[in-house]
Amino acid sequence: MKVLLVDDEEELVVTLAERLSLRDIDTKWALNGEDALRLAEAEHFDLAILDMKMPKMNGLQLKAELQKKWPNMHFIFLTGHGSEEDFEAGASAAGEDYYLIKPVNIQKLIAKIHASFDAAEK
Amino acid sequence: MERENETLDAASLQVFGMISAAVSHDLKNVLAIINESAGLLDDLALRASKGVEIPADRLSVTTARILKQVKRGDMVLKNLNRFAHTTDAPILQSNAAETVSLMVDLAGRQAAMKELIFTTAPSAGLIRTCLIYFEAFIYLLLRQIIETLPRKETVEIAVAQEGGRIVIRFINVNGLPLLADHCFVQGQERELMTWLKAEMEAAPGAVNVRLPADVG
Repeated sequence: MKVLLVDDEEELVVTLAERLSLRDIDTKWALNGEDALRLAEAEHFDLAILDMKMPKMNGLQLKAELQKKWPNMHFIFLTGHGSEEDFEAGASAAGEDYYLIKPVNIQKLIAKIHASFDAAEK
Repeated sequence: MERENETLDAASLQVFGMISAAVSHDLKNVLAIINESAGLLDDLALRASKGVEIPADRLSVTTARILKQVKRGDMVLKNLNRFAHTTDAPILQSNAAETVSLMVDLAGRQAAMKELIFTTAPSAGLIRTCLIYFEAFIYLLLRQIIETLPRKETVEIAVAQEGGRIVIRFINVNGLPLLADHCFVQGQERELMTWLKAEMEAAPGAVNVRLPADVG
């Protein structure tokens, strides 16, 4: 499985990518939507983990761009929003099923990754 | 001068809320990085316990990352604390340039989202006023600049004392058209400006704000 991780916090993506790689999840990262799209052009990704708030292009805009070209790509969203209720309201309005509040629990994240593919297979 | 004013207090509270939301977002990211770094150390410890050799620099890079984030979080909280103490007394005296610089720091997340750079420089001028109104006014000006400027611009902010007035110059080589048109100055912002006795004027590539150094 190949994962594209996008967040403007460089130290977060570097560390999280390393942790996922230690769990045999091949992870590449980018700091913004433009770089993420360039990476996606260069190699295939099964799933993208996107921060909601980023410069240039937010997570929802990036998802739309990625989905245009790679309709089978799966998505998980990360957010730093303080209130889970606020985020759930926003995410549900945007039609997102897979989202996590920072700081992320790695087990939860991996469970979401697998759940995303399990749901697609059903 | 009477400080009690429900509209201005509501505007200040609104700014307080905007700043608190930005700070909480910053702290969430700080905690997220510390969380992942601690988790990574845990992952590496587990590997080491199974006999996998872990290079020392991999550990030191991760602990350095944690320490860096602790410093970052400390700075965020120091700024928030300084801002919170603005309401200690109705009228306070403060270094005007330091106060403007504090508001620039507190608007840093929004500026970063548009890749804007604000530069400030130290200056000796003191201002004695209702500090929360002054800070709210500067913060709302900064947010207006952030919203209206194109990406990757630089705004120089120069603060000086000229006689009995503090002059704050917002300088951008391409100009600050919306600010210069005073689009910003309406409603609560207009009332803040009136209370502070502030005047705004457009100059080539700049907008100057002048207000009394002592509100009296």
